[in-house]
Amino acid sequence: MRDRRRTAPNEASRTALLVTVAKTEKALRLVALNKAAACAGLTSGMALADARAMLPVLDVVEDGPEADAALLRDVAQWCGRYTPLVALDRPRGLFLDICGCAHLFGGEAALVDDLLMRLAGAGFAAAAAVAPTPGAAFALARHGGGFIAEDGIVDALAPLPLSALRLDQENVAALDRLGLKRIGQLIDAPRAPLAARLGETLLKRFDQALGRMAEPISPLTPVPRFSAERRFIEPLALADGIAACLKSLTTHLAAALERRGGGARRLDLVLFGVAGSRVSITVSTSRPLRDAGRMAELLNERLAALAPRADKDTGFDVIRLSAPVTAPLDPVQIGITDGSLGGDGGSEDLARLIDRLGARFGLRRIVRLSPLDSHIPEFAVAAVPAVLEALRNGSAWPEDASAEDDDAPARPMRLIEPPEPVDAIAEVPDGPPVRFSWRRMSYRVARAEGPERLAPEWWHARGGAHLTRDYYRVEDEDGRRFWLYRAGLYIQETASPRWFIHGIFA
Amino acid sequence: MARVLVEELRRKIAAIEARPLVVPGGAVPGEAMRHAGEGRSVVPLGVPEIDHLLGGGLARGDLHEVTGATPRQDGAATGFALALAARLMAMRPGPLLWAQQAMSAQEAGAPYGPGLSLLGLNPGRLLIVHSGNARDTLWAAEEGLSCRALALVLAELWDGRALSLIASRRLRLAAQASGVPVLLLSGRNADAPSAASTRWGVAARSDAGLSFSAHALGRPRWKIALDKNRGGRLGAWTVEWKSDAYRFHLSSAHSGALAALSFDRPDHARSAAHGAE
Repeated sequence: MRDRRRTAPNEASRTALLVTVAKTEKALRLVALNKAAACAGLTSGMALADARAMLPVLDVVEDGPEADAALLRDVAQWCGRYTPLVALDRPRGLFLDICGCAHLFGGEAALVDDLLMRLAGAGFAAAAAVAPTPGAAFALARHGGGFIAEDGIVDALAPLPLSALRLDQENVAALDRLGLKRIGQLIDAPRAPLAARLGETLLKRFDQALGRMAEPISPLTPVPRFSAERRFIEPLALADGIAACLKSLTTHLAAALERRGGGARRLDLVLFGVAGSRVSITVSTSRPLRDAGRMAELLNERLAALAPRADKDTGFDVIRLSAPVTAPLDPVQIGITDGSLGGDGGSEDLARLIDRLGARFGLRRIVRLSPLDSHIPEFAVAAVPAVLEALRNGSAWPEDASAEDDDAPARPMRLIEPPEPVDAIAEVPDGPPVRFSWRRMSYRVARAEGPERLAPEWWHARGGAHLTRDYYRVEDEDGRRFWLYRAGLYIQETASPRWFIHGIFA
Repeated sequence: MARVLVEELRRKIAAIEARPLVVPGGAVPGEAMRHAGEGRSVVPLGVPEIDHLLGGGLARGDLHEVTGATPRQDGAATGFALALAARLMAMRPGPLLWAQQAMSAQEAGAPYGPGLSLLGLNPGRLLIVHSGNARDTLWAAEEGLSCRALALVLAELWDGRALSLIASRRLRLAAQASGVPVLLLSGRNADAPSAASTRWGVAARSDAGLSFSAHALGRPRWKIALDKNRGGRLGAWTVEWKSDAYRFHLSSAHSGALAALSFDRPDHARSAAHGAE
């Protein structure tokens, strides 16, 4: 485990004296300072007035805890290049679980070197330590950094001050009054009296640091069960190379999914750039997917759309593909259902189409219409995401609903939603309109059918639908057909009913 | 010998242009007929006068464009396109992919299931994809054309200017490759360049006289002009849509075929003049 500390959130230049301040206890106090300021003798917690008195040239920036938190999160996600298990240790630390990952970078030392070098390159002053427990790593990272072996925790922590144990100020001060200053002094101290005087926290932190009590870290993103990744010594910049890499990653992922009888419903692809950039792509599928070729196809589609933003000059050196959401999928012999042996070929094609469209536009932009049980026109149908099952099985729409022989259809083919107000003139207040103007064009009504009276659904509290509507199908002089309604019954519901256009007929 | 050669060439040209072989001076020889039928399947509209000009009907794996004959005829154009779609879907299984620019749904109205159903188009077979710009819509349509499981693709553009000759040619090639027909509702001028195999200018058509009775409106009725026809002559008709039979009917004596001055290039002046009648 390792812990990293950020000392200057906003380092403009390494030589200027820079501090951030926040208002605490009625005074502006320093929160963080850069190296130059620390060397000049400033410490965090100092009043700004005192610091200014010492160093009039100080650059002062207001502390921004939210921006700091966001930055820490970004750094944590970037650390995903080393391990998927990254946890935040607010306000300025991160825990990385590197069990089983270090060898990929040539050992723990090489991993830490790589990490610190890259962070320094990005302008962060960071310190790191590797230890068997998060507590020990926390302590060591703040006091010189380094490495602690499995059995060396006690020796390594003994000389460190008690503040390294993640205790609050009060506890540290109380221990100080007791003459306890170093962690080593706690090792042989009687536990019961300490717990009685200082509470459970002290012993809990102490035990966690020493590994006597387990302490799980909670990773920023849950670790997916199915994941595959590739690392490159030479960064990958060309689209061809990335496509080839995707092919191998999807093959691996598909094999893993096959063994577990699962299919991916969502795929996350993360590309870590050498220069610190990070490109993340998420693709959802219309049904569980395990075909490597199709996964690659979907991801390539999205990558192509991103291409201009990609890190072309420097390239990517870590690429990880994971399936965070999966669903059961029975094993099939890939290839047979695909072909023309009859059976399911069509729906396979269709699923592929929906996935490809979904990869580009998002699955919720691909909809089908589903009937609902309501007589209010806008609630009689819902646009729901296209799921293959429903398309294949037909649907709840009546099979033969075509218009009666010589009549005009009673419902428009296009619905204008929400209905748009029109200026309409009717001969009598409760008659059909004889003229109306819509979008600054005026129409003279030649024919009208109606009214079709639709009462509001009083049992639903739906906004706007609480007036009775009288619908008219009207045709203008040129034969254009519209669906208009008058909102509100004349006199009974309103003295001056308004008119709306709600649809266009064929 | 030379005669055989010429016939052979004619056959090749007809195959390239994917239209029936027409032999000057009368009947089509049986052999040529057989060749012309190969690889070309058509969906008749059910009106002999129109089908005759189209060489049997609308070519299946091809691009057909529908526009409003004059501005503010979007409703009529959509209606006619949907009627064509309903007829095509009655002859071929699978869903209809309606690739629509989001602006179209907002401005001209979103597809409304109960109304489509009354036009004879089963909303359960409808797959709608919304995209932000015309380029994405064309991309979605082309993607749909590569899927043989679809009955047809309907591409609706709000911003028809994005449709270049090249873009329409891409659609046509994709349709020819898969055999899936594509209808294009472009909302643009009737004389913009297009690779479509047929183009229809549609306007609403009203009967004379006022009426406010309960059955005043009658079946959907349009004045359609065949503005472009790769396979032959142009024409203009008034048709009614009988949705329960998925059929068009001629409804007026004013309809009739227009002779194109040249075989392959529609005469815009003529067809425009007819449209303005």
